[in-house]
Amino acid sequence: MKTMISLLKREFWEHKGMLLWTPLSVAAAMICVFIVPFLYGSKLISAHTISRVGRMKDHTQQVGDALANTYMFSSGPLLAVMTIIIFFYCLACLHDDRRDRSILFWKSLPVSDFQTVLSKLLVASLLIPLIFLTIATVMSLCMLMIVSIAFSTQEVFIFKDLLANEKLYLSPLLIIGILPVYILWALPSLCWLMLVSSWARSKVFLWAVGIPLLIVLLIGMLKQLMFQDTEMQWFVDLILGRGIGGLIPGAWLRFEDIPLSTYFPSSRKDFSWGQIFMTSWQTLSSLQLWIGVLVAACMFYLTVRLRRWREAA
Amino acid sequence: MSVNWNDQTPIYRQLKQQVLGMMLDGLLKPGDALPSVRQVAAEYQLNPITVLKAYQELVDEELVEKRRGVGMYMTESALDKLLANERQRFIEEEWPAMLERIRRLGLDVQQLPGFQNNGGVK
Amino acid sequence: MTSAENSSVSSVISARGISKQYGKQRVLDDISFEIAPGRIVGLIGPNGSGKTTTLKAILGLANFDGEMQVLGLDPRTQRDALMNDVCFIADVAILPRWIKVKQAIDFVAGVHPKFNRAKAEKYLANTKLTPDMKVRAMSKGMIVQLHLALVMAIDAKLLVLDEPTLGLDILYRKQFYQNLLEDYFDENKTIIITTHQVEEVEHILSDLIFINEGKIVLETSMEKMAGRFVEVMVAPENFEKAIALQPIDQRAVFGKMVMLFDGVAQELLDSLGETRIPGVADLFVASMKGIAK
Repeated sequence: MKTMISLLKREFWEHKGMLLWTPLSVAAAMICVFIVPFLYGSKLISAHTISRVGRMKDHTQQVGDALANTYMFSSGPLLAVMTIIIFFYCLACLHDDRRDRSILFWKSLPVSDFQTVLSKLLVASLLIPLIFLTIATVMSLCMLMIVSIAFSTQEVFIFKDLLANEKLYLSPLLIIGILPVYILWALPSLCWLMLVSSWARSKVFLWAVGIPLLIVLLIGMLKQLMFQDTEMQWFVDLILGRGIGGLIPGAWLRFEDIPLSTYFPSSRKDFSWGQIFMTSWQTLSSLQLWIGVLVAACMFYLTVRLRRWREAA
Repeated sequence: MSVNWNDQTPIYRQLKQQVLGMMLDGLLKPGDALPSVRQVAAEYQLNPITVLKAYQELVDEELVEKRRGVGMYMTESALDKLLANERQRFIEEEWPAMLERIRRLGLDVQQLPGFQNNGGVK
Repeated sequence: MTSAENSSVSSVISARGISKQYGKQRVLDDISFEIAPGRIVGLIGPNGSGKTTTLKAILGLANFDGEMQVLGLDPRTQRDALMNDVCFIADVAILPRWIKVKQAIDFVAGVHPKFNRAKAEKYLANTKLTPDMKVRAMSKGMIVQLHLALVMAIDAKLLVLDEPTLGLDILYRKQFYQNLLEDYFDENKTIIITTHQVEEVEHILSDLIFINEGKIVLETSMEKMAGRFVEVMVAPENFEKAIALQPIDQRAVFGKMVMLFDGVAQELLDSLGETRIPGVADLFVASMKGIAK
């Protein structure tokens, strides 16, 4: 256990730029951009909007509710950055130390290859999302506070209503609660990228993305030549989607063909994180998911073997 | 400390000579502790086994004694033994060889500089 | 008590019939050797001789055919357990460039059961290294100091050094071996060193293994070597007599012939000229031309 904690710390130290400074700077930048209109007030915001806000004076409870329900949407860009970070982290984690030969230092210590690979998987699947979600939550709350302060200048006080609204607290918690579902669906992608990272001697990105693309191309050709009638689209989806797309949060909703209306109702009022939470957890009954987990486990095993025997570049 | 070891004799013997030299010069007095094997090995960049061998020969010749748990010490009688050995060697080997050389060069022992003044031992 | 702990006289490394092939190239060709505890062994060979592969095999970093026991364990299958008692410095500067001194210490402390943090810190106190320094800001010599600090604080039974002083200036090189001998080495530890700078370590070694083209050319202790090999500065008038004794090597130095003899009695050689113990480097060069083990 002590070893695993040291390993996780090591990953954090090594990739602090990707894991900490990037989300912090993106969040800070977003807040800066967000706050600008409010600072310039009447110069940038139309009088019409301002008067609309003024009319909310008597509906603070509903306003508070709507805001508490949707304030976490602003995390979107940050989560998109997270997806890219996870992608590049996985590509680098088992390759960089082979390239600069520092793997020989790590291998001189009594840490099993299984623990090493596992620690990196934990970072990619658990640590990075938790860091990003925490920063996203704080950022969204800041933005919410900015809005509240701005509203208060129009004598619309929503602080009390916000704090009393359980959705304020539940939204981030529900999102974090979906994390296990994310991890299970993302495992094939994570393990594929780590497998390539542990195997490729160079140009890791090309191998990681190139091989699935190549397979898809071959399928396309095969389809043209022989299996004209067979529906191969699902295979393409499988390779590209589960192969790499699994990293995108919410991808499971696409994989499981869940209708958009389930989680994105036409009326904004009907949106609920709780709904997304439930729908997401329900996908655990999908056979596709567990087959993916099994394939991921096989790739994980191969990765550990490669880590054991693959020599430094 | 870097010493230039010659390649004629084994190093352990040269090291032993060094210690003997220190004893004769009074740098090591009877009852003094010898530097530890570890220290000597580190300082002269030698294998500890080599140092141990040199020390062991000194022990065998009763010039050094091993005190359990404390280290190696120069014996009380070491200086006397050593001087006696060295003197004997000088009288039996070095001096006759010197005399032979003086004769070969055709010199007169009595006329050599410092011969009259250096009558006795220090 | 495991059998490894019971027999304290048993070899630290015992290798039998080790072979390794990279494609068509036979890098290690059926080599065997034994390394006893408390020794400092020099593994000497030219580039491509298989010495690095041998080290990798010992450390479980490369697969091989044959039988090998390191501290009673098979490095192919029991590597994780082996790393508790084996430490190595593979070449200078393999410490990750991003790591800080204190992070390196923290990591090893959290991961190695036999690491003594106080020892490492004490050693570092005598250097110019500070806890917040990153490896990428350090000179090669300082990186080696850090690595050595970590290694010396680990109570390992076997230390493998692969060209540990390559590229270091003389001050760091001398300090390296001095520290190793003064604060680390004892009769329970064993050290294997490979180096090109043979003269630097020749007095520190207790044993020699010469390796060339995947085969062991010579395996002996320094003591036995001194008794077996003799170098003679042969005066011209004794040439014929000397050649008759079958020297294994000869070279001309200032008009005299320096000949190397293997296993010829000292008395026979004394009459030929000045005799001396050959330096390891000269012995190595001669052995590359082929002598019996």
